[in-house]
Amino acid sequence: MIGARHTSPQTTRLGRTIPTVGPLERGVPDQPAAWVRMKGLTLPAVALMAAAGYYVASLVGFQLRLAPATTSVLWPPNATLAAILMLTAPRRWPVILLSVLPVHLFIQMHTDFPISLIVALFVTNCSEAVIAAGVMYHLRDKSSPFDTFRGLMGFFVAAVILAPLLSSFGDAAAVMWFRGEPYWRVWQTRLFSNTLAELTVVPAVIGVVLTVLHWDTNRPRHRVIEAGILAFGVAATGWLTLSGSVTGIDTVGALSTQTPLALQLPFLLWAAVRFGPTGTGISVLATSVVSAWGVVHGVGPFAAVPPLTTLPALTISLIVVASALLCLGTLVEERRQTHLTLHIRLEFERLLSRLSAALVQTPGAQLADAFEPWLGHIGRVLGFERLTVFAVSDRGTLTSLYAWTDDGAPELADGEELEHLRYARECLQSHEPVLVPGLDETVRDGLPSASGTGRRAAAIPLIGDRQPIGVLALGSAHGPSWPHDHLAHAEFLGEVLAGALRRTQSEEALRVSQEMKSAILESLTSGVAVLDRTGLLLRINNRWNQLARGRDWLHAEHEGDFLRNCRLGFEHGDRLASNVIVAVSSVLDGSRDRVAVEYWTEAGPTVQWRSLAAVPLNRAEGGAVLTLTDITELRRVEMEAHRSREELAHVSRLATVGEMTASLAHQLNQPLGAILTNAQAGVRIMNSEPIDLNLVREILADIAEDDRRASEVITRLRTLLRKGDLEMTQVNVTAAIRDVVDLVSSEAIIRNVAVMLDFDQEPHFIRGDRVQLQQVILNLLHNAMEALNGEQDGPRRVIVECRSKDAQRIAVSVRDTGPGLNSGTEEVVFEPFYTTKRMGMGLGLSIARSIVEAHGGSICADNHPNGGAVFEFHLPAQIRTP
Amino acid sequence: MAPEIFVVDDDAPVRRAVDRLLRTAGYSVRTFASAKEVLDAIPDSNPVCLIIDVRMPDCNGVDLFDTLRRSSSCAPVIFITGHGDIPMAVRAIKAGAIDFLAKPFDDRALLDAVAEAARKAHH
Repeated sequence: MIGARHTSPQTTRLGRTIPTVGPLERGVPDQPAAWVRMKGLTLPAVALMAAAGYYVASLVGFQLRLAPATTSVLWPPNATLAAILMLTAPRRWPVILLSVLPVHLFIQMHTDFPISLIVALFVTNCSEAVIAAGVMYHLRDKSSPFDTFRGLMGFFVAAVILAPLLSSFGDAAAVMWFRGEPYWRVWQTRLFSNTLAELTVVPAVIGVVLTVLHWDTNRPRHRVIEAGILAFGVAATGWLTLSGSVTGIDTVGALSTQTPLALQLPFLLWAAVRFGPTGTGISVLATSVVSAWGVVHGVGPFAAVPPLTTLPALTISLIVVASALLCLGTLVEERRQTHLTLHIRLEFERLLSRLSAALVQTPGAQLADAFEPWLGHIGRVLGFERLTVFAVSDRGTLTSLYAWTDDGAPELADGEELEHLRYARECLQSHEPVLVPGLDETVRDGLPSASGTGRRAAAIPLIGDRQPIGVLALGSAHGPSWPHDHLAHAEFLGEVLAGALRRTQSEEALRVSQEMKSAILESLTSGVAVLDRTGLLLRINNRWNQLARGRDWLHAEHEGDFLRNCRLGFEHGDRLASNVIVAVSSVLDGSRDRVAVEYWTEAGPTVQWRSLAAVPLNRAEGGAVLTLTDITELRRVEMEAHRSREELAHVSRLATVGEMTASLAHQLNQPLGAILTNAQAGVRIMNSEPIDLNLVREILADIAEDDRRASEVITRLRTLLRKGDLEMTQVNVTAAIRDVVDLVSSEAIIRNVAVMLDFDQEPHFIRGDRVQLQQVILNLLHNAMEALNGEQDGPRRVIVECRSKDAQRIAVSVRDTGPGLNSGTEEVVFEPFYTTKRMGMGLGLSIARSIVEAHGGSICADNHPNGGAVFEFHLPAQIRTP
Repeated sequence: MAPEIFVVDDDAPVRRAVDRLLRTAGYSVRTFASAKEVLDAIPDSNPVCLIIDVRMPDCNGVDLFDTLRRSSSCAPVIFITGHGDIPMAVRAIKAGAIDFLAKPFDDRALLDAVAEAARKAHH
């Protein structure tokens, strides 16, 4: 429940903890209750009205004075003055009281009262009015005292009991002092007369003043007619009673004599039930005046009875009747107000209900169109002419989203729009509704000025997820008082609108997100297909089907069954489909995080390469994201790179072998020399007698052996220098190393280097290209021997090791006893074009590394603790297969 | 008694071939696989000529020649080599070698060189 809390003279916030109905905080400058507003009346006008009222009431009062008594039997001026004071701010009371003084003096001067008594009576009259208005001010409520029974009780205490009672003591004293009348008789007469006056005049005056000030031109005609008939009835019964016309009728005469007010009672009840306290006050006042006048002037049913005997009983009867009728009228009015409030609340609840239903049922795309008509409904129900829904941006700025303005609304004055925006910002900061009762009204001394056009504004925060996502700003150039009961439900209204706004924003965000996702998907150069956990296609971009050309079963449609299509492809003999099923299924069932299948397809005279990769769809429900990528260019580049690498490796091998020319020549010349020498020796033997055939056989055997020896050298060379494609086979690493060592044996001899082998007994195998592997070893051996060039004194050794590092790896190392690597160059030596040789290309180790890595291994360089450099590479071991 | 010729070469087939060739020419031949072997044999023998391979695993042929000279052996020396170059040949001739033959060499060249060495040895 929301109540009104006033935090500034012009701004009211609806706090969450303040009850809707209840006393306002005392001492806080307050927006005055609606019933005390006297819009359009300046202070002089009010003073003049007070003076006029006092004068008229005094005239009536004098007519009801039972001479020679000083006190009238019904004295309305005090009550009139009290009513006017109740309608104005206390700070104006001195002016009003002073404005009444001349009237009082003027009226009283026509009597035979001494001036001192006249002044004293003014004081007591004013004291009664001030006591009544003062106590009422302190008991004031948001509503008129005659709107609620509680207010009426306050009125009884303040105006009906306390004010006449207290003021009558002074009045009676003055009259006794100056006129010598009995104190208690004067006190009693004045008490009853003024009590009756307060009971009748105050509700009548307040009712009339407020009715006139807030005259509603649209007031139903039947109410006016009814009021006229009632007035006529009251007047007629009064006239009939006074004129004695009824005395001729026995029954009616007896009724009017023995049962006073019997004739008037139906009209008084009518007034109480239908016109509330105001009607009651006027009708009872009229009846009281008529009755009192009849008694005072000896007219009517009580003419035969001494006035002093009749008056107290009549006054008390009127007081009782007036009190009861006021209670009845107030209860009826309170019920009417409650009914009206309930009706308004019901209307508001109906609006909220319809609004909620409409905004919930309206499709998201149509919400924007639905907003503005509904703002119109809200505006008409709440009595506002302009409604704007502002959205709050991430930076806290307000942007007008939807707006509605009543057709008959006046143009906004300069600055008004800015003012509304200011309230919206204020609401945004406080997270609470802000209402501005009247932009033009000013509040002074706790009560409003009598001016004000009634412009008002309100701002209701639209809270979503505990943060304001927007503000509903309402404004009106005119209108009735604040509909507190409506605004008490501002929070509900804000929640409904916030829900719709949040939905609009969410759907807009979703739409933007979907558009962005689609745009991103369509912008990708790869085909993308998103599958659910069963293999059904959730999303696919156009690129997918473009890249799937040549494989019909890969063509996909939204919500199609991707795996079923693959199975159809497999049934038509495409083995690729089987691979794709296995790959995608392994991702869908979570057994693999990423799989890729590469395939080629013919596209005219050329071949196109594709890569189909699958990764899990990162969501709780599972699924997979497939990407289909054109890797033709990548493949071409790879092949180019591979070819270049092969070329480079070949060139490198040529270069290495070229550097070994001397040793190779030596290695070939040895068997060739032996062959020639053996052959020439053989010729000599054949030319001699006797021919030693055994020796010839030995010679021929040696020649054949040397020929094989030379042939092996040539074969090894030819193999090493061969320019061919990568040939991945099972390679005996140990044997391959021995071959290379044999090849460089002559060079080792020439360089005076001892090459030592340290192998495991069992041979080791890898899967790879034998030539490339030998190239690595040859390069390392050649480098190692060159590193010993400058070593004259120390050992000139190269140690080649081949061992099993662990079950999965084989380690091959080449160590020399040279000076070792320069510190910090352990990594750099593998960089391309890094060389320490004067004529070196600097590619040997770089190529060696690329070869090792292409075989799934790694290579590193370091200095050995005992001196010299050691190069070691590891390769994945392979179990030997027969 | 036939003049004795020492053949020093780490390559066994070469040693056997040279051995056969020289024997057909009537020489007595002793072969050695390393410098150490021949240095061990020299003090107790008097070859008319030594045929030394320049490149051997344990020793350079020219260095062996220097060692022989320092050990007062004055037997003429013929160098054979699998792959010779001009600086090495110049160095060998300067050191006093009879000839410097690159494998494969003609039998006549070797036998002429040996005959020349034998003559020098007798003088």
